[in-house]
Amino acid sequence: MNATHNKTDLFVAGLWSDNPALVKLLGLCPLLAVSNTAVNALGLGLATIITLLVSNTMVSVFRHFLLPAIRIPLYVLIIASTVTCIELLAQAWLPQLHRSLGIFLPLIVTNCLIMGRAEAFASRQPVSAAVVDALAMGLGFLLVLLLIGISRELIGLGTVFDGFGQLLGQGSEVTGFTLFDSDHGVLIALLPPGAFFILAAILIAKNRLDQINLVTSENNSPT
Amino acid sequence: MQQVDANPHRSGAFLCLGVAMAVLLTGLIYALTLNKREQTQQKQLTNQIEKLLPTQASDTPALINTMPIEQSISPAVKVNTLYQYADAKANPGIVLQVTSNQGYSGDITMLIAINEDDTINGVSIGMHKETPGLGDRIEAQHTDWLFQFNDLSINTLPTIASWRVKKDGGKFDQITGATVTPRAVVNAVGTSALWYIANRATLRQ
Repeated sequence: MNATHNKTDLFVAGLWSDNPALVKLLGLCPLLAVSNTAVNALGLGLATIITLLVSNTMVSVFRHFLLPAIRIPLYVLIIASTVTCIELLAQAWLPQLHRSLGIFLPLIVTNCLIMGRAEAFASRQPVSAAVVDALAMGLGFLLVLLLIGISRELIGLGTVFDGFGQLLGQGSEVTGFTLFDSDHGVLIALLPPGAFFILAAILIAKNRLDQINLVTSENNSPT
Repeated sequence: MQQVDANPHRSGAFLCLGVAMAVLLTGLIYALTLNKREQTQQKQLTNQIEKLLPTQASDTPALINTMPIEQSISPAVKVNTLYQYADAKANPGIVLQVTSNQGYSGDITMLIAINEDDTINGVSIGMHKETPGLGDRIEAQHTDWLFQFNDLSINTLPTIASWRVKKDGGKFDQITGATVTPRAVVNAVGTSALWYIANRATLRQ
């Protein structure tokens, strides 16, 4: 990787060409487990972005102290304490958010996406680049999660963003859309196999698009 | 590629330093938020209880007594606390906080409000770790499933055998895709309600 990073390049990498979920296939455990409804997907995506931002920043700040032999345990240490601190702080001051994101936060520790970015990017880059990278990769992960979440909820329950209010806090009456009655949903979409099917479909679509792009750009090249 | 650490002592020292810093920071944040977290939790519990109680628009029921029970009333169900309430017209109501260990993944804590005339005023789900999108649909913010307990007269279901989901031959609705969770809640509500009826003389003093 170059020493200088264009911000646009970082976002293109995070959202498409180097997407953590679609190209690197990182963080599949939470991605597949918690994408059964759109609201859950959004919750996990947001929690991932926050953790990724803090951990990338910390790793980048301390990058000169992360000696090669001990860097992996130190990443784990940084990520685990970041998640613990975020959880404690949220529990104290943002109880509604903690109630809705609470189950996702411990899952983040097991997300190798965070570790992957620490190793591959933040440990060699200045803080500003690490922050942009965290935003780009987090957003890329969030969008894929959302796509899977929306598809699974729609197929399995016939709704989209059902229970959105719980992300905003108690007493919020904002709900999603109901397209058909949940009794006619295809249950398997909500169960673990559904996640694999939808992810496979998205991977096929992305690789196909990349192939088409490659062919057209080759045809248009002057040689 | 074989990695040789040129200076293992330095690496060891840095690792120790890192661990010490992480422990210190986490411990500090834990200690600083301890009070605030307990307050927030207590406030949430109070809010949750108040929503369960029978209220006219004008009178807020007041907590008159909190009784720690901490008693296992069946292998699966434990009653933690009993809250006694009274509204402005002194109509007493009680709320039981119970835990079922029959959840799909871990314990399910719930609040059960029972009226003076032995009807269930409402049930509310507290802490649980049920599968998002499946088991967690027992919660009132997802579906109306929980409302089937509202205004249910306990005396019409006098034995625990009648507290079952339809799949098991009972009268309670189940949730498509989640079998274990609704079964656990129905069983816990039934067991607690019957326990309350059997002990109402001592509990309603």
